[in-house]
Amino acid sequence: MPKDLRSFLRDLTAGAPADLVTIDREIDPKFEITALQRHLEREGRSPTLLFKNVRNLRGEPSGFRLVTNVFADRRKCAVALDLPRNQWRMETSFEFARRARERVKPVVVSREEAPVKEVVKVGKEANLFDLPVVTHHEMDGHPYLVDAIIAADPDTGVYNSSHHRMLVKDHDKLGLWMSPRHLWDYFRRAEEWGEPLPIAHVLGHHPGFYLASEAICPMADDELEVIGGVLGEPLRLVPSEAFGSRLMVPAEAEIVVEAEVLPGVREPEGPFGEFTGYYGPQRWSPVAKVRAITHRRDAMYLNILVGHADTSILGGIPKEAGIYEEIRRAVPNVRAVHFPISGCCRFHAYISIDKKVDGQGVVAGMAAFPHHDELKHVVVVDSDVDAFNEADVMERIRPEEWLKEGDKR
Amino acid sequence: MARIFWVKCPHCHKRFYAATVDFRHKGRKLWCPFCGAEFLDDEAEEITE
Repeated sequence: MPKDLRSFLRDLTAGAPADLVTIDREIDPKFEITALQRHLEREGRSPTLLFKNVRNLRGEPSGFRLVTNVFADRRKCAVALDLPRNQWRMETSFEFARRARERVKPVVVSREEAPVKEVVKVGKEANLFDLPVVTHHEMDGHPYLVDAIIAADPDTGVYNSSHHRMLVKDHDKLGLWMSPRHLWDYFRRAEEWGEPLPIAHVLGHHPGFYLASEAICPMADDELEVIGGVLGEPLRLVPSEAFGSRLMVPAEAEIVVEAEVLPGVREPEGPFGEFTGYYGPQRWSPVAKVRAITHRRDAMYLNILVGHADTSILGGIPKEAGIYEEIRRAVPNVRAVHFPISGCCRFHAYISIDKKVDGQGVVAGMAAFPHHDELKHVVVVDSDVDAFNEADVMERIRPEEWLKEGDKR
Repeated sequence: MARIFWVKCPHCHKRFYAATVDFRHKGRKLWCPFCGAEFLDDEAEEITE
């Protein structure tokens, strides 16, 4: 059986049934789901949540189930990478890096073999208001799609998969904010030719799909091959409804929204509660027109809670091993690199080294910065400190007078 | 991160913020995330930058 969100939930609950909490009562996707996740987060709990009765954007029972908190604990990411859940520290980051290097080409399957084609809605039938799209935070004001977008390079045809916020502006209209990276460059080139850019928002797949979408790759690399590497099997693809083989979509997805980003059109979009834990401002953003929505008959809508552990960990694991390799070139005795949740798994790095000579700490710290443009603070500690235990790391940052008094532990 | 300015919606009087480079003195209408009203930056009830 190909890997998908369902196979992951089976793997997750096989070892720890309590990791999946099912909620039967009817719930509104506007604020209620976020509020529950935030409440659990404050209690230090991060079970994966499966809502069985969620309203759609018209306030009616949607018929979709909704899953969230899939990435809110590193142990779940270890399971997603087929590791024992106790190997959640550097082992998970190393395993991700190993898999991301071993690219696996996707394969094409027929429509009949593709679960995502069980229900097909094209043109006016494709209505975003049918979906249980979550409104996350107060100033967002509106629901946002927050999973991964795939698109083909308009020149080379290689695929990008990446995370971008998509505002539901109407039943067939989305606002899309793109950071100036690969997808933004695809659209920039398509727009120069006056052409729309076909995209697909993939709402629900195996967590490996989304972890791979956070890998830092050169523009020429096909990220569907990276996804195959991280999954450990070829990603199965099927032609999209609206664009045919010009845009292939994942056959094992739960829901796919097919759209095209329109050239020369900009409208206000945002604010949106971003990965930093703060709102990103309202932007003058491109607009996408929905062309088709396809999904499984009993589809599960995957939501990632941006600005909290769910999205922090998702973004952090793919970066740790990359920085580790960069540091290792300068400091061979580096032991671990951790991006803690306190820095949104982007802005702070805790590095442990088995220091052999003076100066290696400074070199390790400096070597980390060029690899990741969002990195702000680096703490380098000796290898007897667990870089994955923030309290341990912070204990080593204390006034020098304390150190002179001797080790209190 | 983009530089921001706060605006108060002239219709619902709630505050939100927008990217200065996209909206300030650009003649582009802001869109209130709370009530959906559209207005120019100079029409805001209050601007803080």
